[in-house]
Amino acid sequence: MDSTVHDVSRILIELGLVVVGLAVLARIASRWSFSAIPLYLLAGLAFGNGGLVPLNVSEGFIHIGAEIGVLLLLFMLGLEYTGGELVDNLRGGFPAAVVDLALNFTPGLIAGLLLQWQPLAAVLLGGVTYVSSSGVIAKGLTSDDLKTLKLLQCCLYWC
Amino acid sequence: MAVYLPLVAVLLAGGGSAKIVLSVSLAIGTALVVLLIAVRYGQPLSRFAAHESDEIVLLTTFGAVLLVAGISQRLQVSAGIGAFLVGIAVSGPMAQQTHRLLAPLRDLFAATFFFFFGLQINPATLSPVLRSAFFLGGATMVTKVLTGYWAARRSGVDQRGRLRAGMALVARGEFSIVIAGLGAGLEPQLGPLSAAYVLFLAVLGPILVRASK
Repeated sequence: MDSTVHDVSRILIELGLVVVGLAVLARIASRWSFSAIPLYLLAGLAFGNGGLVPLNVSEGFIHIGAEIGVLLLLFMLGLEYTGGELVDNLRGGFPAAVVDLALNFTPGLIAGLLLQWQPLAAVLLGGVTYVSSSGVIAKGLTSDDLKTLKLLQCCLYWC
Repeated sequence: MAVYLPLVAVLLAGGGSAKIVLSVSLAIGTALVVLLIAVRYGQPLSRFAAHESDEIVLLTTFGAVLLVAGISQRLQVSAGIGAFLVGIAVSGPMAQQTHRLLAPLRDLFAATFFFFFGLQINPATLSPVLRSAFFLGGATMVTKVLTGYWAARRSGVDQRGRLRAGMALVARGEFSIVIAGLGAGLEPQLGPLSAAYVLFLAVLGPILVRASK
């Protein structure tokens, strides 16, 4: 009993420090009107396995949080489209999606093969270089830009 | 993604070619069925689920996202595609309400997502892959700008807009991380290389967008 109470307090303290730390990073990023995402990644590197201060108690909890995070990112993306728009964009944007695939999947695939990885790992590296982020950039674009992006990205989700 | 992710997931699971074809068709079929439901019945479903209470809408949509994502994952469609389709299905006034309610949750958990990916990478494994990540980032920065430029020209955007559209595509982020996560057991360098790559382009992308204004 005593040890679970201790565990809970430890998890709360660790999580609290992590979230407050991320808040500080977000504050810095917003000060320089930047995306905070690279900073979150760097913070993870610093606290992970082999980092400056390894953090191991709450990793399971953070893992589930991370899974939910990517689901919510995609859900909110879907929220931006109605079904009709999606179908229209798919029709209109198909050639663009093919060009995108050819130009951006190929470099990753080739790099993976040059590094003498297994073919499947090279295919995954192709995927890494292929898909643009929707979360990193949103500020500083006009509505025309956004329309083009919406069209392109919409196709990405289906190829 | 709706084709690529299931394909990779099935290939990772292995098996004979007949099994692969079957699993991939099942996955794509499922995605199409859910898409059809979302497009056709999104509005009536949203009307049915709508409520003036924020609490009820929050619980309904969040629960639906997790549920559909989980089922999609079971059927090898990838949880993300399931969540995306729930987003498509939610429409009308409920979409705005949901956006307002779930945006703070997304911010919290998305931050966790990027942090967690960093946690899993040992910084010592980064230095051997830095050079490859840098070259790959440079090459795919150029190809993304070309892609955006070409696509924007096709839809009749002016010169400056074309360039901005290209620059806006340069950043890589959540999807690259999801894909890199799939291959963690396959190639030990995939995670570190992707981390360095995403770091590089997630920093560079916004700078390019700002410079092109």
